[in-house]
Amino acid sequence: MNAALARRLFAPALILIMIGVLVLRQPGDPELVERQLYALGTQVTVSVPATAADADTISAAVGQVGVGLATFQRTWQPAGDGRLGTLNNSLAESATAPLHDELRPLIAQAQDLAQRSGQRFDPGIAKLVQLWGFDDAEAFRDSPPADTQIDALLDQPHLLANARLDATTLAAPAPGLALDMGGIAKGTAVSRSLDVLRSAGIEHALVNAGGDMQAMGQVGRRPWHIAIRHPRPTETRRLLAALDLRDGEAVFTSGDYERFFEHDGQRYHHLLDPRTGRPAQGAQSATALHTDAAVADAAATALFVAGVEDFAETAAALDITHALLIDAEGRAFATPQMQQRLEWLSNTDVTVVELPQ
Amino acid sequence: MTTNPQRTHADLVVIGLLLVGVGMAFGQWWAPQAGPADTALVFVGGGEYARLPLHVDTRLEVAGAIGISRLQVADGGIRFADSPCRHKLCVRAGFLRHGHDAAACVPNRVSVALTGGDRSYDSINF
Repeated sequence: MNAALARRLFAPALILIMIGVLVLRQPGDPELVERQLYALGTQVTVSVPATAADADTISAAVGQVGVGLATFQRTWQPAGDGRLGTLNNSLAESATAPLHDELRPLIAQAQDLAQRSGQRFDPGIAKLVQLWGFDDAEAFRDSPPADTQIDALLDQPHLLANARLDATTLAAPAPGLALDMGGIAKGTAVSRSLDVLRSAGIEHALVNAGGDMQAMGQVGRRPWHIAIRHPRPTETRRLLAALDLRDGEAVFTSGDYERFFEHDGQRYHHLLDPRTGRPAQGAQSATALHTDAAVADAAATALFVAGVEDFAETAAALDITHALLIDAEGRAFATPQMQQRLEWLSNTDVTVVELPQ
Repeated sequence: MTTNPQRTHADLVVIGLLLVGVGMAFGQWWAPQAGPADTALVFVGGGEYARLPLHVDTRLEVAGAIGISRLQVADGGIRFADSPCRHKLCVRAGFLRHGHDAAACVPNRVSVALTGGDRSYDSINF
């Protein structure tokens, strides 16, 4: 080939090579098969890469997930004759009650997290949740309960952190303690749902229960790519940040927009501070990432209650290295590791907060 | 053999076509695939009740646990126009338009989830 011909072919050849590279490098993500179900009082979405299993296997496995979640919900309902309801009924009559084997591991974990979080998370607040009406979507109040009612409940046992657990019993300081595991049980439920999928031979999946999720495996050759919704979304600002979730990681967010009512221009949300019996002030949302979904679940609540002032101390106490808080003014506070993982999608004022050693 | 080192009009056409090809390939495989959702899944009591295409304006009345939820599809979105719950959080959610958007009337056990369209993310945390 002479030089002139080479010159003529150079540009087209270069472009052809570029197209070739683009075609060969195209990611080729598998389609996601999504199955929806309604459980735990919320929408649950199971996503599985189409390459991970055939549609029939996925449908059958998701059916099993639904059965498991229904059983889980009966076990952990605070009222009624399920396992937790029975425990709460016993604790209403007596300071000490028999603790069923099925309840013990999660209650023990919850107590540990309650103690480490300085009671910023504590499931002993079932009666306060009931007083505020947040246990029943149709029983929401139009106005906050009287201070005297709240204070009366604070005078009763309302902290699991102060109870004593042994192999077979739970002992509160006095009768009247009641547990609501709503701030931690969803984490366990999501994790067990992934176990069910794994048992069905599915190694790559993501379970999202009402916005909180845990990932297993990946999507083709890439991690799960998710986004965190903005706590105050608008038409032009829907998402706060994007994040890649690696195998086993769970991300949970607690926000003041999930369950709330407004009275005299003030928002009263469901995230009660166990120490005051009232909705925690100072945050719009808190997000925790951890490989134990129950820890992520409880930590999101604890970090929300902690607010900016106690954010770093609470995250460190719970061994949460990846945490994010949006304060009442919409400013973001992130741990260094979380900041490294986030791709911000909205114009947000971000402060990186070092954790105490 | 003689050759003409000058570019001809044909060369320019070929180069132009190839550039268009590169642009199309990029658009197909790399540009963020953001966009409106195309379908709303309506659930009642945990089971799928209806699939509504979002490009067809319509209204749907759904009998739930405590009454009738009224859904409206308009302008590529869906909303709870009314629901029998006390605090109307579902109604206040407004129009849902993007993939992964969802709203629920928990007391009435009626929920809506959007699919299709925005596939930029595998899931949304909130």
